Amino acid sequence: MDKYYLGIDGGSTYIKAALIKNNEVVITKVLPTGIDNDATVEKMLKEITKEAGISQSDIAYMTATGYSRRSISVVDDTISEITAHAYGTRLTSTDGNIPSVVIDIGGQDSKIIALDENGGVKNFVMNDKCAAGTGKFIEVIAAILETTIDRVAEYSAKSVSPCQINSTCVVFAQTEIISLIAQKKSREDILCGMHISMATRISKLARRYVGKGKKVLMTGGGALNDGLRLAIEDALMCDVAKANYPQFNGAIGAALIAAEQKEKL
Amino acid sequence: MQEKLKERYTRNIQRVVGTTISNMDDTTDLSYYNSTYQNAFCNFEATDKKYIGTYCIMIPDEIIYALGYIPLRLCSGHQIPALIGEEIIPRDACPVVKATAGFHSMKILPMYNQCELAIMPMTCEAKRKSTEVLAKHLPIIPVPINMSKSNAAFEDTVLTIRGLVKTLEKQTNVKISKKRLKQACLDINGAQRQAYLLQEKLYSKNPQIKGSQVMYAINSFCYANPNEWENATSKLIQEIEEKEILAKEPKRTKPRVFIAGSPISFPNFKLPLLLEDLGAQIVGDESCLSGRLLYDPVIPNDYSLNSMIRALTARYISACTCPVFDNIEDRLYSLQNKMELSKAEGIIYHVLRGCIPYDFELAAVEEFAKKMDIPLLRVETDFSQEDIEQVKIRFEAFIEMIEFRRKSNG
Repeated sequence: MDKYYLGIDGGSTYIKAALIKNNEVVITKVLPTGIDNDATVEKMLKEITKEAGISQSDIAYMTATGYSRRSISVVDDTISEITAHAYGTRLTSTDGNIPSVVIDIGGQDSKIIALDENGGVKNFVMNDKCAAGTGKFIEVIAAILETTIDRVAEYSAKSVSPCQINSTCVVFAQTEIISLIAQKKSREDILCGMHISMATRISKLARRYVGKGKKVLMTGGGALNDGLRLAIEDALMCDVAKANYPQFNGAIGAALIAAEQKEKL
Repeated sequence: MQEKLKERYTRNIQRVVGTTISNMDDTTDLSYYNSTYQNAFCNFEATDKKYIGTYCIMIPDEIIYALGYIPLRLCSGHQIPALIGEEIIPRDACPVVKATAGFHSMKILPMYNQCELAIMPMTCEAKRKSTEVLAKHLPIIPVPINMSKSNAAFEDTVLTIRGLVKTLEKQTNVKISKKRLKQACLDINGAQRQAYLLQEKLYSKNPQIKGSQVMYAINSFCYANPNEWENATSKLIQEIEEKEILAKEPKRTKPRVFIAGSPISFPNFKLPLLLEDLGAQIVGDESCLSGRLLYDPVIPNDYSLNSMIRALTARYISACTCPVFDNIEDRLYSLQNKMELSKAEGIIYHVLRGCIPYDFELAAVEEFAKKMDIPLLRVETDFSQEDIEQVKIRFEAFIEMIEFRRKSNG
């Protein structure tokens, strides 16, 4: 195939898009979701086509995934995020092999997907109706500690004695952190404690699928945070690889599905 | 009661009931079942009917009919009384007992108000403890159930049911005659036969009825006259059979899903309706208030009182596959049987929040599903509508997963 395919992942916080051609990622784009999904996607499409030097008609098929997939009118088809994330690993897996388990940490949910050897979804679990263990959690805590989400890993790595954070609710955790600040705990220790507390929760969901010789791949915006990834490694007692284009795994998966759908038509 | 409060109660009860009724697919004639539910939940005028309430499905309706009373299934799926019940039942208890306690304290539905007494089998913890709450509203007969499936336990339970009959006779001043109990057995067997045939329709390769409709029809038996229900269901089956003759082979069949786990009862049809909206065909369920409610017949050796009581005990208690029993083998056996008959490709395991027995058995059912190579998805929810979006994400992915499995299995 030498056609272009576009996958759009309308997440709760960001909209991600991936343009692929010949089973390779050409361009990725990310923009805050905003209130008008269609407008955001339109802007993205313009930027993508401009950068790739193509026109929109060169894109043979578009598939959307994510929470807001149904409010993106330009696409040809939609697919659930679980399936999209499973497909995405075909291109984002670091060693080219399909992982056994995908841990996806998104803005407002986290999912664990068990894959079979062909990359099909064997089983999956998602966090319940709560922001614990999601990107939002880190964002809120980082803001209280007057830092940003891209710096939390660096602080966390310097922690000597991580704080214990018990609240699973992001609002209660805020209260807990404010009291830790009052106790003059360091930013490093609080952030490291936050990563450990998130990792404990995520690993509870993932543990049943992780076993000897199983390859675990981490995707989603959360995978950009090495502090969290290392804490999950410690909680699961196994290697957790960071995917290529972690934030775009869903979008890439949707693009791969777009290619497959188009070939069938 | 304050008029305003009464108005609020009736308005909200009717709204929830009306929403479920209007959400049912009307390409099949469900009018009998619709009016059964409407009569039960939207008719607030007192009647001359006398009810005896029961929890769960372990107390034989036949005994209550033989006394000249109407059995009232107290287990409810209604979210409004569940909210009211939350004030008197602990937060972490299941919504079924909350709804029951709620309906009693609301004192608004004639069938609850005209319930003279309630027979309470001591099944799960929540049901057992909630009898204390209900005892404030009406006389209660607690019935200990032996949680073993041994022969000795069966004999023990037969004695308990005999004792129950005596107690009921004393309480109601009615003597149960052989003739009336036999008639009740025959009436319910007639309904049971139709319920069984109706469920079989879902086993077809291209079912001409939806699983939610079957669950809806069977669950309404809890509020219906057995003979009328039998006739209506026999007509429904005829309608399905007419459709079967005309049905064309579809290009692609819908993913076949079986619902296991905690009870699903009117008006809480959230999960089945959502599953079907997303493209699944429900091919059966093991809910005690639909799939298991009328699955087995009562077969006495003869129609002596003794034989009938033994047969009723065997059917309603010994054959019950509720996870409160200490034995899981027969539940798994029954599940396997239904998986094979229905050719289910996936299991939705429904856990009502707070329903510990079903959640406990999840691990065993998961292992069973793994052996049968059928994917299983656990969904924990209650009667509220707040988590529809979250449940939807999971259902969509589950249905896609079944479709991808089909592709990769050729």
